[in-house]
Amino acid sequence: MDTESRRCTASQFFMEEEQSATESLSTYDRVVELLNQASLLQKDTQRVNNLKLVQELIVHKEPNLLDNFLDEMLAFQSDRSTDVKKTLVNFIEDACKKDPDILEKVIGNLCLMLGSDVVPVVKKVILTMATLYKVSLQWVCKAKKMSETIEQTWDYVNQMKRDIIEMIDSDNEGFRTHSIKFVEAVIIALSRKTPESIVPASSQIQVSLDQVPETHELLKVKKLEEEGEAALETLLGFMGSVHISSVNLMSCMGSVMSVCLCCSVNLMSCMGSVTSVCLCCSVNLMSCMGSVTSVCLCCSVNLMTCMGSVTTIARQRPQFMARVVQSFETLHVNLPPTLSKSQVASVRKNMKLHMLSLLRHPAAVDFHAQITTLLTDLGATQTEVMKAMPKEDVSRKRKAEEKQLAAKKAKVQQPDATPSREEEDDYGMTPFVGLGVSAPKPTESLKQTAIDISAEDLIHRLTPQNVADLVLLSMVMLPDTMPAQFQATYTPIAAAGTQAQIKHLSRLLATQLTAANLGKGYAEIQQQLKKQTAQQAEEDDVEVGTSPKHVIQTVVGVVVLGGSVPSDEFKKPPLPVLAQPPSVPRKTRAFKLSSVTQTLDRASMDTMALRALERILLSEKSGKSGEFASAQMKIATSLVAQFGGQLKDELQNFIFADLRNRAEIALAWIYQEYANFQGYNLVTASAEKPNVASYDECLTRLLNGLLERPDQREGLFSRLILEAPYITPNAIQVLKKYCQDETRIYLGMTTLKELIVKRPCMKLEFLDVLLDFTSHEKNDVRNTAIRVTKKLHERKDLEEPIERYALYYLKYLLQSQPPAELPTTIHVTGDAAGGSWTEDTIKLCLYLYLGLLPVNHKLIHELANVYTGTKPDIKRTILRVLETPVKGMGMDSPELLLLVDNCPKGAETLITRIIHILTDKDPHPPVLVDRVRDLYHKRVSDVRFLIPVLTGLSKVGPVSDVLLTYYFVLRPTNILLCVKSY
Amino acid sequence: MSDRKLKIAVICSSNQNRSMEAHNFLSKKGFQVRSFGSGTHVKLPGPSPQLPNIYDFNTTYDEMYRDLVAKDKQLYTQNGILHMIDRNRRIKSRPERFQSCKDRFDLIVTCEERVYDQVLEDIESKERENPESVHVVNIDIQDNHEEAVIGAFMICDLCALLSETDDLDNDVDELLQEFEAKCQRPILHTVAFY
Repeated sequence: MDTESRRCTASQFFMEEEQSATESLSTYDRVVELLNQASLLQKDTQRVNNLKLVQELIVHKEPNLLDNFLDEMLAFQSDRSTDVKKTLVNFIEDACKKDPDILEKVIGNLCLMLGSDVVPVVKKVILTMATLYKVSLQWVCKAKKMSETIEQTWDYVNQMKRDIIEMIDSDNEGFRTHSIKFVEAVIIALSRKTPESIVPASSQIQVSLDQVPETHELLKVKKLEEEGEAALETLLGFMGSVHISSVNLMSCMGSVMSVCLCCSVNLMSCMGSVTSVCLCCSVNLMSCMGSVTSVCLCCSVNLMTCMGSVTTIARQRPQFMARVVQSFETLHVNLPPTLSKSQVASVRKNMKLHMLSLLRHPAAVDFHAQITTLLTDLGATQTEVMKAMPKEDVSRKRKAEEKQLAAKKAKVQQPDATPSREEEDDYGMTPFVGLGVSAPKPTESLKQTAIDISAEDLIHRLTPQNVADLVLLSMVMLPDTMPAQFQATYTPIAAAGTQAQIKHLSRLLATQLTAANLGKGYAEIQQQLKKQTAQQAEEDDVEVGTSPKHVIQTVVGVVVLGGSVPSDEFKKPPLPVLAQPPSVPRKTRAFKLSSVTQTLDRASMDTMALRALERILLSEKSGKSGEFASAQMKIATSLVAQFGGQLKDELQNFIFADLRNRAEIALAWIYQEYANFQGYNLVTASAEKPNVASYDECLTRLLNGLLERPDQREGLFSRLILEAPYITPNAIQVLKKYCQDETRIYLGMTTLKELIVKRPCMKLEFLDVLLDFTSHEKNDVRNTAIRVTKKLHERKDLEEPIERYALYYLKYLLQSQPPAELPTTIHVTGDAAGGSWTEDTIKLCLYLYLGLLPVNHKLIHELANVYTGTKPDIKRTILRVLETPVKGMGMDSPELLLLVDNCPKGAETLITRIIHILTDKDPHPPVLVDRVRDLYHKRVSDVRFLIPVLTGLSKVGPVSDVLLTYYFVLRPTNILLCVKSY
Repeated sequence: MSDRKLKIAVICSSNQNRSMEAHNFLSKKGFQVRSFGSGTHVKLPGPSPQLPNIYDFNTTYDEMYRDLVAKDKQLYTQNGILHMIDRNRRIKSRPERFQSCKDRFDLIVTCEERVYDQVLEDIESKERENPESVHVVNIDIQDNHEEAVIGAFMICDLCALLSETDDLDNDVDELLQEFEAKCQRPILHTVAFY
C-alpha cells in the first residue's frame, strides 16, 4: 500500500510530466496540422481562420513555439489572397509585440509587402509599422549590446519609415490617410513625454524619447528629436498643403490658360508656328484639370485624418499644443475652397470634435481663449464649451488672472498709445518690440510665433476708423456672388465690438498676414532667424538649419518667387495662401507640371479631350465679345483639327445646334483644317506628309450637314463653299447634289456661277459641272443652268469653252446611237435596249445649243451641218424645237442670211423652217426675200420654199409666175393664203 | 474590395426603425450588414410623447412585443409599432448597442447627426490594437416609417455605390459627392481608425 502509494506519487509525477509533454506535443501537432491544412484549403476564409488559430496558439498559448513556426507562417506571404496576407501582417505585429527579437527576421518580409502593389496589404503594413516602429525603438533601446543585425534591422525600419512618410504625397488617397496615421505614431515616439500628457489607458506600448538613454550607441537622442520635429512639420505642412496644392495648381492653371489664350490671339494674325504652343498648352491644361480634380476631391478625408492625428499628438505631447492650435486656426480661416458644401460641414464638425477634446486637456489652459473663439466660430454652443472646459487648478488660475490683469493694464494704456501709432502707420514693418502692452509676456512667449506677434501688433491698430477704412476698401474686392464656402462657414458675430472679439479679429488678420508673408511678426521672426542662423553658423557649422526654432511652421515657408529654390527648402511644407481677397499678391511655388502629371491611358485621354472641348464650347456665352471669342474659337478648332475623332462629331453637333450664330466657327474649323493640310503648323509639319483627307472630311461633313438640313439659313451653304480655301472633288459632289435639290436649284446655280467667276484656277472644273447640268433631265435644273450659262457666256474668257461644249453635244446627234454621257434615265425610259434616239435624248443634246443661238448667231452654221448628217427622226425634232431660238435671232441677222446664202446640201428643209418661223408674223425684209429667191432658183426646185416670202416676192417681179400659179392651184390652201396676202 | 464583401453597420438611435429597415433591405440585397443603436436605452413611442416606452438593450424584441401587446394592443397595432417589432424579431433576437460591439466594419452608416457624433466619440475613445480604418457616413433620416423606407433605399444605393470600387479609401470622396448630388441630402463623412 505504502509502496504503491509511493509509486503512485512517483507515477503521478511522471504522468503529469507526460501529460504536459503530450499537451505541448498536441499543440505542436495541432499547429502542424492547421498549417498543412491551410496550405491545401481552397477557400480564403478557411485559410484565414486556420492562420488565426495558429497565431493564437503560437503567440499567446505557447510562445516558445513561435520561433519554430515563424518561417512556415511567413511562407504564406506568397499566398494569392489579400486577406491571407493581411492576416499574416497581423500575425507579425502580434508576434513582434510578444517577442521583439523576431523583428530582425520579419522586417524584410514587411519591407517586401510594403513595396507590393496590393493596396489593402500596403495599407495594413503601414498601420502595422505604426506599432512596430514603437516596438523596434523600444527594442533597440533595451538591447544590451549592439550587434550588426540590430543595426541592420534599425536601418530597415528607418528606411521603411522614410518610405511611408513619403507616401503622404502619394496619389492614392488611402495611402495618404494611412501614412498620416503612421506619422502620428512616429511623432509621438520621437518626442518627450511631459507630465501633462494624456495617454489612453488602452494603448499598451508606451514609447517616448525619455526612454532612450542619452548615451545610446546607436540612437542619438538629439537626432531622433529632430526627426520627430521634421515629421510634425510634414504633418502640419500637409494640413496646409492640401489647400495650397489645389490653389497653386489653380493659379498655375490660370496662367496657363491666359498664355494659351494670348497665343491663340496672336495666332489669328500669324497662323503657323505658334499653333503648337497653343495646342501644347491646351493639352497640358487638360491634364492639369485632371489632377486638379483629383486633388480637390481628396482633401476632406485626408484633412480629417490629419486633424485627428494632430489632436492625438497634442494630447499626448502637450509641448506641441501651441503649434497645433495655431495650425487649426490657420486651417479654419483657410479651408480649401475646393471642398463641397457637405465636405466643409464634415470637416468643421470634425474640427469641432477635436477642438473640444483639446479643450479638455489640462495643458490647453493657455490656449483656452483661442480654442473657445474657434469653437464659437465653428458653431459650438456655450454649454458645450463649458462642459468640455476642465477645472482649472490653482496655479493655472493664478497665471490666468495675472494675464487678465496684464490685459487690463494694456487696455488702460491703449488710448495713449493709439494716436502715436497712427502717425507711424507708414512704417508698418518696423518692429515695436519695446512699446508694449505685451510687457508681461506669458511663459509661452518664447514660443511665440509670428502670428502671435502680428496679432498683438494689430490689436491696437483696429481702431474704428481703420476698420471702417478696411471694410470700405475690401468692399471693392467682394465677389459678385457669395461663395458656398463662405456661406457654410459664416456664423453671425455674437459679441461684436468687445475686446475679445477685437482680439479674435486681430488674430484672424494676423493669420492671414503671416500666411502672405506680411506683418510685423513675420518680419521680426525673420530677423531673429537670421541672427540665429548667423550665430549657429559661428557656433557649429554642421548644425546649420537643424535647430528646432528653425522649423517653426509659419516662418520657414519662405516662398521664392521666380529664381531657383534650394533643394533642402523644397522639402519644407508650403504655406497656406490666401484664397481671398484677390488683391493680395499670391505667392506661387515653382510649379513643375511633370511632377503633378502622369501619363493617362488612351481612353481617358480621349474623354478628357472631349470634355475639355465641351467646356470650351459651352463657355461660348462668356466669350461673346471681341478677341476672347475668336481665341476661344481658335482653341476649339485647333483641338478638333489636331485630334479629330469624336471631337469632330462634337464640334459638328455644336455648330448645327445653332447655325445662325456659329457659322464663324464652321469657317474657322475649315481654315484650321486647311492650315494643317498645308502644313502651316508645327505639329503636323513634323509628322508625315499632310493629307488632304482630314480637310476633305471636314468640308464635306459640314456641306453634307447643311445639305441634309431642310430649314437652314440658305446663305450659309454658298458662303461656306465660297469661302473655303480649297474645294475638294468630294465637295464638288456635294455641291452637285445641292444644285439638284428642287428647292435650292437657284441658289446652287448662283453659287456655282460665283465659283466659276471667283476661282479662276478651278473655273473649268466648275464650268464642267454647270454645263453638265445644261443637259440635265429635270426641267428646272436645266433651265436654270442654261440661264446661268448664258450669263457666263457674256464673259470673253468663258465664251469659247461653253460654245465648244454646246457644239460637242450637238455633234452627238450625228452618232447612230445616243452616247453614254447622256443621262441614263432617259435611255431606260426611251428604249429598253438603250440603243436608239428618242425625242428626249435628242432634245437634251440641243438645249444648251439652242439657248446660245440667240446670243451667238454664228453657231447656226454648225446646226445646218449637223442637220444634213442626221436621221429623219432627229431632223424632225430639230425643226420642232427651233422656233424660240430662231425668233430670238431675228431676221436681220447677217449670219442667218449667210446661212440662207450658203445653205449646205440637204439643209433646205431647215432653212425653210427657219424662214417660216421668221416670217410668221412680221413683214419680211427684202434682203431675205432676195436670198430665198436666189436659193430657190439655184438649188431648190420646190416652190413651197417660197411660200414664207410670198408677199415679198410679188413686189419684186414676175418670176416664174407660171410655176407659182401651178402650184397654188394645186394646193387650195396655198391659194387661199396667196389671195390673202395679195 | 471586389473580392470580398464590405462589412457594413447601419446605426440609428434605438435599433428599431431606421437601422432595422435598412438592415432588412440590405441583407435582402445580399450585403454583409449588421445594425445597431447608439443610444443608452431603447426608446419606443408610448401613449403620449412624454411617456415613451423605455427598454434595456438586453430586452429581446419578442419581450418588447409581448409587453406592448399587454399594454395596449389597439394603440400599438394602429401606430405600426407592433408590426415593426414583429419584423425586427424575425431578423434578430434583440437590439444591439454599437458601443458594446467589438467587431470591425468597413463602412458605418448613421441615420442622424447625433448618432454620428456618438459613434465617432465611441470610436475615438476606443484605442485598439491593430487599428483599421472605417468610413463613417451620416444620412439624415427622420424617425418614421415612410422616411425609414426611403432611407433604406438611399442607404442601399450608397452601399451599392461604395462596394463597386476596388479601392474604397481612394474613391470614397468622389463617390460620396456623386451620391450626394443624386440623393439631394446633406451627408457627413469621415474616416476613423479603431
